Amino acid sequence: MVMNIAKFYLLEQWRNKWTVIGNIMAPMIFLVFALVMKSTIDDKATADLIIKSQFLPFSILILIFSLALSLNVLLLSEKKEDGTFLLLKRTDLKLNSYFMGVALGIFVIFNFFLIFFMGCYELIVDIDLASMFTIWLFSNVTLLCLYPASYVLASFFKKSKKVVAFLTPITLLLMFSITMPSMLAMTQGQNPQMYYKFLFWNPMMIMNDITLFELDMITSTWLPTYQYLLVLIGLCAVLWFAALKTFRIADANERV
Amino acid sequence: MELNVKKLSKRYGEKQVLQDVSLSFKSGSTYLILGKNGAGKSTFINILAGNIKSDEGLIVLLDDGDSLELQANAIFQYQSFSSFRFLKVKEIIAFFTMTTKNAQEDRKLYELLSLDRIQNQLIENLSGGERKAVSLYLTFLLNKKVVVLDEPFAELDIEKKYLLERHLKEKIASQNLLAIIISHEISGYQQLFTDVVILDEGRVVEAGQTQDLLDKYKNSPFQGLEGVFYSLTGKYIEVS
Repeated sequence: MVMNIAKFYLLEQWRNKWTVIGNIMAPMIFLVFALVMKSTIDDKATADLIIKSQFLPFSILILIFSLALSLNVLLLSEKKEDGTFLLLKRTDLKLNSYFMGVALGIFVIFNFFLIFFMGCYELIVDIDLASMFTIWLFSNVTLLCLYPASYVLASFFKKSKKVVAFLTPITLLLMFSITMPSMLAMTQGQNPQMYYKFLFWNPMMIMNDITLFELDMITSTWLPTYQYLLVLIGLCAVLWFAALKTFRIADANERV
Repeated sequence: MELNVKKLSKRYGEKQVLQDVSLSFKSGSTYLILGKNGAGKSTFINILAGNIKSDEGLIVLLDDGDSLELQANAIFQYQSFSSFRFLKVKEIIAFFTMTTKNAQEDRKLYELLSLDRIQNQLIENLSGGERKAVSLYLTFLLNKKVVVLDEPFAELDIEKKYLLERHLKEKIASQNLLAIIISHEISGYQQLFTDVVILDEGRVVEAGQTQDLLDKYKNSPFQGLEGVFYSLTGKYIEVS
């Protein structure tokens, strides 16, 4: 059943491809900039540094954010709004199977684009296979960690139109709290990890730190890898618990 | 099978939408819930369908004296179907057939609603009437004993309305379903409704068998159920 749900989900996303394309637009623009920069700037070492320290990590972070959070929050709030879940409740389909099928579909789309972007960046700047594998692995763990957050967020929105307005500050909070301080610290010759104690709650920080380390932009990660994995698993458990507590397939007191 | 509703009440803020609604519904019958806009019809059937909660009251579904879970045995037809917008009609039907153990396809209803003509179209591209047809088909595909229909005739053409009325009457009788219908379209469909419940300002003002009510209020200035409604409420029913 889960596989069938994933199949139908992928079919819907394939036909609704402009929504998916919209979600990968930001990493695509960064990729194009990286390509242009590498081909036009004479100082290749500086170009490599910018691509590795900014463009590539940001592309991965925004891809995780777009597919784990924004795409799914929109989908969930739309389905709540149009009564899909109430209809599904009348079938023999367990809603958990439905959500797992959707998650599987998201993982397929995510990995397709992640491998595409990493492959492209590998052609622009040299990245060894072991590093690519570690980044791929942590990207998937981070996606798994953030996925339940989409249910927590969707529980606050009755209308899908409101989701779009709220996604911007959430993007700023999750993404720019990592990338901006990191960039400013690096340009000042400081270690970006000096801010990390304030950002332990943000799984994107872990992803960013691991990526910078694997790309030789920093000499060590803030915490050892196994501790990062434990933190991600812990955050994932907390978010799943919150999702189970907060997410409802419909508002029982909504006016009809 | 018998569905008993006891002292159901619902309030939205300061407005009392339903007040002490008590009714009894039986299998094999088709109940028309008649009322003006804002009378509480949609709230009532949404509570029955489990889509919203009542503030007070009790709903009990009984089968040979045994209590059954209403949600597992009832299906609510939405006025319009807008789920899975990027799937084709035939894929939607395949999806719900796959996810429902006792799904019951009805070829006659499928053709009557002209789903064969639109089966390769995406839900996104369907008109209001076509979405209504998909919604109606899925309601019966899910094969539940209690069927709640919201304006099933709206947006259908005259021929389809006539054929649908006949098919529903046959289906409800042959499958011994308990059907509750909200409809503003009552002219010409009186044969379908075995019973009528008249709601006004959140209260049941009359309930009984259609023929009994027609006999009781035969002196109304209007004919048929419109006349019954006028006699009881002093209001005209909006006929679509």
